[in-house]
Amino acid sequence: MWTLIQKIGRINWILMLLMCALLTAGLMAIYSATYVSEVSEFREAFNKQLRMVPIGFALFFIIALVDYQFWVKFSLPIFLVTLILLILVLFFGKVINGARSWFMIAGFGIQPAEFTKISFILVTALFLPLMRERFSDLPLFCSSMGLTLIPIALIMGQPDLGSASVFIPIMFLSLYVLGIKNRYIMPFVAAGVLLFVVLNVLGPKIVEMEKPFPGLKTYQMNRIKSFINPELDPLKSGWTINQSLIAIGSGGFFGKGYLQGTQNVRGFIGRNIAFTDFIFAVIGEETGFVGGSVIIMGIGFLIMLSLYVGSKSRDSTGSILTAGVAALFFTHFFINIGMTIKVVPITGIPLPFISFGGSFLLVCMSAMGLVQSVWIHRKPLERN
Amino acid sequence: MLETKSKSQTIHHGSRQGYLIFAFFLAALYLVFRLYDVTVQKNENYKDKLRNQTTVAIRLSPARGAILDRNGFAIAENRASFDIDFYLDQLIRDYSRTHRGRIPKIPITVKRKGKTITREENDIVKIVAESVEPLKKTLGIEIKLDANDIRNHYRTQPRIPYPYKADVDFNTLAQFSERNLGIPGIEIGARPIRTYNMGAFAPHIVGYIGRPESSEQVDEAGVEFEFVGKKGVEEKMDSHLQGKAGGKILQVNYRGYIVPGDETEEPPTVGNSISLSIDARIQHIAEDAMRGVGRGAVVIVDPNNGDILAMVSVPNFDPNVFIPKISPQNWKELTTNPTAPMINRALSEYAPGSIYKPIIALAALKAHAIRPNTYINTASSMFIGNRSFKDWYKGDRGPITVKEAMQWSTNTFFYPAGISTGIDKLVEMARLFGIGQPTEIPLPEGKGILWSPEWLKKHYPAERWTTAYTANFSIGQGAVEVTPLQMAVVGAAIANGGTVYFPNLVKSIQSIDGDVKATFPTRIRNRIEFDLPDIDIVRQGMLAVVDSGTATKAQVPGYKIAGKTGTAQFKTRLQGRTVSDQRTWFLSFAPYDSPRYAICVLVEGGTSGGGTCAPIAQNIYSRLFAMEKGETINMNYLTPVDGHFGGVTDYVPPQATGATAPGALPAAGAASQESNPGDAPAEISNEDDDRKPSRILPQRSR
Repeated sequence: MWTLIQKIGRINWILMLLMCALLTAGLMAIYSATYVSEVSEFREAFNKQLRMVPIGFALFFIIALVDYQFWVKFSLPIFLVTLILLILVLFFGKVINGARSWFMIAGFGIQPAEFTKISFILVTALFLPLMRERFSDLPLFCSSMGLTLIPIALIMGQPDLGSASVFIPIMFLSLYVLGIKNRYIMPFVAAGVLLFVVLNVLGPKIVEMEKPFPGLKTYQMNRIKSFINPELDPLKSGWTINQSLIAIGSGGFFGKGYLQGTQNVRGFIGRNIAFTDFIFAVIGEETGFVGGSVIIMGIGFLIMLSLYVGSKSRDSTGSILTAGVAALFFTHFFINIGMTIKVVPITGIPLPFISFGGSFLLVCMSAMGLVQSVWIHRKPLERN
Repeated sequence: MLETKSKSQTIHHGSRQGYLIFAFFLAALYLVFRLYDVTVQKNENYKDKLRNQTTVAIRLSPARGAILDRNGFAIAENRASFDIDFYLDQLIRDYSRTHRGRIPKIPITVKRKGKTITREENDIVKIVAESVEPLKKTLGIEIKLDANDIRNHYRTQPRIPYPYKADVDFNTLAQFSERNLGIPGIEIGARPIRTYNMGAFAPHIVGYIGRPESSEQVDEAGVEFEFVGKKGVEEKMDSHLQGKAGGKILQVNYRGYIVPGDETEEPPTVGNSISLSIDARIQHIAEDAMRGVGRGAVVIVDPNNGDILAMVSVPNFDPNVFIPKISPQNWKELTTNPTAPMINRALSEYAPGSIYKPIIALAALKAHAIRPNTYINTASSMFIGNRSFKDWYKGDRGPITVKEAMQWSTNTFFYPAGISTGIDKLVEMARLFGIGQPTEIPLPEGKGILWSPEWLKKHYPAERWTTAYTANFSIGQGAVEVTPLQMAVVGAAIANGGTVYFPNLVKSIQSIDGDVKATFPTRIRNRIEFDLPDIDIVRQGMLAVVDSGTATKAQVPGYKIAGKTGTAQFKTRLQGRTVSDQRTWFLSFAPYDSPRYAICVLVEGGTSGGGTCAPIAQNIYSRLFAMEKGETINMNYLTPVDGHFGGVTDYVPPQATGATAPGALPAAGAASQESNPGDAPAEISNEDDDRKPSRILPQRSR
């Protein structure tokens, strides 16, 4: 009992409060994005999300208060289960928004890809230190890349580019904090920067391309094209980014006020995305620059704090866990907000703690539980 | 508790987390920076885009002010019209939405400063045609589109809804509203529209309205007018009658449907109404009296203040055919009709003939060339210079005073009287009566010609004024031209003892709430001083004209009416023939002892002033007096009066007969053309007719 009280006392309260604040902001934004919808399924989103919060907190506390090494020990079976689910969903999943990524169980939708993210972080934390002990950097790098490709391949099969895109950052950050030599990491960072430049400089050429890049579907190519030039097709592929920019841009410094946004109410931002992937557009319109920056800095601070927790970890497993969680959050955060203000192409991934989505909410809260666990167990408990 | 030291403890790099924290901080900062750019820097831009896609501005038609008679009777006002409107910008937007942003364009050539420029324009016709396709299918109605009209409207008034169908019947209205197909941009609107309550009632005064010819006609706020006055008071007082357009801003959703409840509105205003001096009852009486006349005019003026009580010109038209738009057939009919129904004959110029004689008599009396009791021996003809000047009467009348000369319109009295007065004093008197000068009423009017030595010098420098000219001047011949309105003012001045008014047509302008914005008080042109016996003898002469002279047909039992008849020869070409088309006149005032009406009747193609015009005046007077006694005037809606050329007779060259005595009826003051030695530089012309259905014969005889 004393152990438990001691652990609870050790919880990182700043992170805890930050998470609660973001959850509250998310619920408010979901309400605003759905309260006028004609579709009852959307109108129910707020209540559905609200019901997920206690479950999330239960998971959070369970994960936080148990030493993370315990979870890492069981990471392989957990990971395998999620991989099996990923395979099953390809055959028996329900198609929503063009991707076969859902299981419908008793009215609840479950996305195996979301849970794969957390199981992948766990298995990485198991896998990397073990490999590190036995092999040099090159086999370590190659084998970890191989591991990463498994969930990516399965998720791309749905296809869900957004979810698939988070595994690489998770692995890279984990490798980085593990201490892999810079030469394994930097070429990819350089490539990323190069891609960013290419999209901006060579963008017009890409727009003119008729066939998609090898390996990309036409709609994915269109997303890239419409990212480069939203005016190109303002009514089709450029519609969403245009409307998102109009929503946020018209918000101004202080926004139009809570529940005063019109872009979502009038349906300019699709009803089905206003409370999920494009929730930041609703926030931007209603709370303006001020509200938007608070969300950005809030999530940003949460990510940085998680990394700080990792740096205080008692072992590399803890560092890798927090790095994975930070990578997961950062990827979602940067791509999600970035796509609403035309920093990155539109990729359908949710904003942590804010967007509607039960599976992802549970994943996010579990991930925070892991970070808290690393923090709580960073040094031996005192015996009384 | 797991407290074993991890084997990988050694490769635990705190510093790397530090780099990552820094990198993530930069990334978050970049997002904030981008957010600032979008929300603050480009705020206006996105706000505009938002407004553009979420609002539709709809113009609310203003109501035009009414045109009222002096008692507040509405001659022109507004009624509600249910129209099917195409909101072109909304149709384009909707089209763009359903066609992936592609809008069909057509090249058009514009000529500007001599250069031909080709530029692209939205193919609005195609857009409209495709947009109404579903309507056609489901309603099963034929939708005819006037391509040129739509294009023109789109160019000139793009913000004003295109009235596809104005004044739809109830069936169509019901069909439309019942089966609202939800095509954004096609709507039924009720708007105020002009209506002329009495039909072809004073159309030349009131005028009519129509679509402006260019988008350059805008109100103070820079908003295009939907309608502008095109003729008459509607045109001249347009700026007062125009109401201010209002606006409604509707909110639309992403599919272009209007979001109910969320609208802001600036209500349109009603223009000021204009009170005319016209008395609708008197106008109606005069309109009635002129039906069937063919071509002619009546002006009734109040001698006490110069108010125009009625002004009729026939043939006429129903201004309602112009609302909302005149059909090409109607327009063609109105503009090519040889009887020229659009011309306001009351303000057109005609040779006065003998109704000019009171002016001569008054000039002679004022100059003391004659006295009220001066006798002049008159014969059927006399020599002036070496030419014979004839009277219309074949017998010798012997010595007569000015009173009898008026009564019988004896030319051979006025020749010597005029000559001894001298042309300068005759011209001066005519000038004081306003001849040759505009009456300054707010309508386009002819100012007439005051024939005089100066006029001759100016227009025919080679000519020289002669006594023969003065003789012609004295009987209203020569180049002199007057309008019926000018002569009505002369009649009023004689009736009131010498006060020449600027006739008043508009009394006041008032707002819808009744605030008087402007009044137009009586204005006096001249107060001519006459010795009472002088003007009395002229008036007595005019009284005798009706009592026992040339205009006995104007008599109304129980009332004393004074008048003067006139007949002026006029030749015109009609269907390739030269015809005699006399201008017959009757100028009068009544009641004699306290005049309330001065009436000038003109008929083109009449037989004589006494035979044609006096009965018209009689009809008007008898009904006016009955009205004064309390008889009600039935204000019926009037159909247009058709013009005709009745009364036009074949022209017989004077050489063959020696004189053109008009028919069996006694014609007053008809000095025949052949006896006109004046070689009048400008014969009687027909300048009111700007489309010249007939050609005026050259009259030079020398």
